[in-house]
Amino acid sequence: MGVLFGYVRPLEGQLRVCELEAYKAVYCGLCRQLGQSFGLPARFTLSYDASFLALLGLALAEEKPAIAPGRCPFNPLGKRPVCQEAPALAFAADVAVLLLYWKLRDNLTDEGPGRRLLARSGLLLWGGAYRRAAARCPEPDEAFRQMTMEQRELEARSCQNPDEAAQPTAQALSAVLSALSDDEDQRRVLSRLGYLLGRFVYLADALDDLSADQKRGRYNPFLQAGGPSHLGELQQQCRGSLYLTIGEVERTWQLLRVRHFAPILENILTLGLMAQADRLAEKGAEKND
Amino acid sequence: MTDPYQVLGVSPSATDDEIKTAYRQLARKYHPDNYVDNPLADLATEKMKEINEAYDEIQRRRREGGQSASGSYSQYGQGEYRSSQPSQLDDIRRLIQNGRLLEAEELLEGIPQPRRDGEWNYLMGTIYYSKGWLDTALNYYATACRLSPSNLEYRAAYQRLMQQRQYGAYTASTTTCDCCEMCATLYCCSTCCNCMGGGC
Repeated sequence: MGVLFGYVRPLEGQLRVCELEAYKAVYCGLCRQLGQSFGLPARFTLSYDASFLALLGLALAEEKPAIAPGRCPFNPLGKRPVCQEAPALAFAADVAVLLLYWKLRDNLTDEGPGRRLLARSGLLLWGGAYRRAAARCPEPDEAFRQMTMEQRELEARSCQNPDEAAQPTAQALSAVLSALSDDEDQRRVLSRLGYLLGRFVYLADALDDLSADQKRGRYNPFLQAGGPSHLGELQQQCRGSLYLTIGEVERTWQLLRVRHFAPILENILTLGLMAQADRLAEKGAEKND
Repeated sequence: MTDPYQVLGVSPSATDDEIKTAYRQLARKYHPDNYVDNPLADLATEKMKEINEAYDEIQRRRREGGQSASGSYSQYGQGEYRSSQPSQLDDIRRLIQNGRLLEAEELLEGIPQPRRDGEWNYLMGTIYYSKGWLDTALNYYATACRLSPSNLEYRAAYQRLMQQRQYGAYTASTTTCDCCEMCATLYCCSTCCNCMGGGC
């Protein structure tokens, strides 16, 4: 089972135009930061999840995020607004590389010699970047290492409880988000928010892989847990777990005191997550009926 | 004190009705009932206090300025639904309230199967809720309700999570957009225009 990508993103149609511009500027800023920290190839690892992390970090910082027109090497026609360098961007870029590295490490033990070979060459390619990121952010690195180990152990014993199966990812994201603030109360909120988001991402990924895992007989917490054998019904039940998590995410988010980007973050954490849950629960519905 | 208008998210020139609406929305959002058993309940209470104070302060200022007024909701206290019957599990409940979840869970596990009543299941539910094991928590709450159908505290906890399971985020239910089709179309058009080398 993979962990991530792209489940934590806004429902763009419900953002105001200026908010969408700001979101894109952060996205571009993170891309540029990845290039600066780790070189051009790192720019291709840009993800919505890391952008969310950057956005949240910027939102908590005292200084107002600076946005200025800049050029993009992939789209050289004209300039676009780009968020300028900030500690939150550097942190998000480091975390993105750490996550990639640990994902590759996990793939090493995966089935299929092709994927193992791919993972091995990936690790060679990213080794240097990983060491730099890990030196700067030892805590998230340790959190992802723990996550990878615990995840492997859970799958090996075919853990039947989705709550328990989601815990390693949840705890890792909890540690990552907690690192965004020094204030004790804020850290408590961030820790729970991170836990719930990690839980959401893991369960969303499990729902996403449901039919593929069912066909190939691979580990999936929702399949292990039993429940309806009809795929459509099972998907609806999984959506319930995701909704339950989103409601709790919202309740926790309301207690966080952010200085900037509040409407964008609220969009991502409520409407955005709901849209993902709905999309995944309806996936392949036409084929099944 | 911070600007009371800012706390309620309204402009100082807002009408009394606008202020009341903003206050009601926030009060509903941060109401202690939403944060029962929540490890962050104290932060919600603090926020609620801030909102109440801001509302009272605005009312006071406006009264002095000769405008109409009405008071904030009475102080919300926690434990409105607490059952009054004493139980041997009271000590464990106190441990949970003090955030000592591991100890509480261990003690609960030590209670033999026949004595695991509604209260036992409810407390187990609150521990798992705190940990973020939401589906497990919901199962315990459901069992608690089944064993003690008349207990309002258990029912409230169960219904809170059930509602969440059905509807997800509260905000989403208030932001439905009848013209979504149109928005989507416009959005697609705008994206296509961008591809064609449009200005932004």
